[in-house]
Amino acid sequence: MSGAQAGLAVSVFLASAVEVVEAFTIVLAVGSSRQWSSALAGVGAALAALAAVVAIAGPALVGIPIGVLRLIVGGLLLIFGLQWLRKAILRAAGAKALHDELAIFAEEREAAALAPAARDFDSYGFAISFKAVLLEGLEVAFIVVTFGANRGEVPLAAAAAALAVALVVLVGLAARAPLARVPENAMKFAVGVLLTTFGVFWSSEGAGTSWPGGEAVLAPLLLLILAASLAMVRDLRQRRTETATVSA
Amino acid sequence: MIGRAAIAVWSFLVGEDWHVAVAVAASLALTALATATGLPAWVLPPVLVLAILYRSVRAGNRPAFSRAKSP
Repeated sequence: MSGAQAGLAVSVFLASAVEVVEAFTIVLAVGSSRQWSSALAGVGAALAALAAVVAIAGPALVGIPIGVLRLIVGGLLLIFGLQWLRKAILRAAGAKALHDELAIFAEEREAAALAPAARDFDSYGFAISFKAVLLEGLEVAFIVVTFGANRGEVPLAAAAAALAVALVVLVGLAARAPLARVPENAMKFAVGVLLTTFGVFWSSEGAGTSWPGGEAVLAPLLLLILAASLAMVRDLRQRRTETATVSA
Repeated sequence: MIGRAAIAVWSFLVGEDWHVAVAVAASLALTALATATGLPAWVLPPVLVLAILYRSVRAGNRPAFSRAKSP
């Protein structure tokens, strides 16, 4: 496996794991407080919809000329990655609330308890589970399709995502609790850096640029983006401290 | 229905700060232009992307940045 393939697999695995942890919390809250069969039916329906998205979009994108694909899909991946990284930097600096699975679990259980009770099929549990898995899964599907299509490795990207899903679900089932100890915010930061790195690389190639050293430039590019992101966190924290001092 | 779908796609791809999408498109156009003129354009994207990220982070934390400047 080349360095770029490993980077692709790690990026997709981490992004998928984070999204599955979030979806797992909601399904667990709804299933444990209402009806497991309806919640799991919602999960199944969402997974079928996501599989269809990947099965249709993956081959369709692979058919586009690589230059156009890298410019458009690489550009979209870059925009997507910058949004992840922006939120991660703001969270790390304390300017945005951290993602808290235990709080989300409690909120979802509270909302589920307030919804009207179901006799047979629980449409509330189905809808909440379906929506959670579909929305979180769409981000995974987008990353799988864009990464896979840009490198012509949709199967590798899909396998990395499937491994993440299997691992998180197995750990979650063993724990029977929200996976609050998963370092979700740090993982999101890492995914943001990875998505941005690959997005810069591919979209620039799509714009006609030749990188010195080809794919070997990915490692220094990643380190540059990571170092700059950490510097932004430090800068933001310092400014927030100064603001707090001035306000006090 | 189509309008709601379009809004959902927009918020999914573009997110909270639409300036990022516009700036990325502009930076890619600039990179393509520099490449066409024969310049070593590969230095541009990392610099431009980090500048876009810095601006977006600043915008996301506007109160801290504006107040920190005041005595």
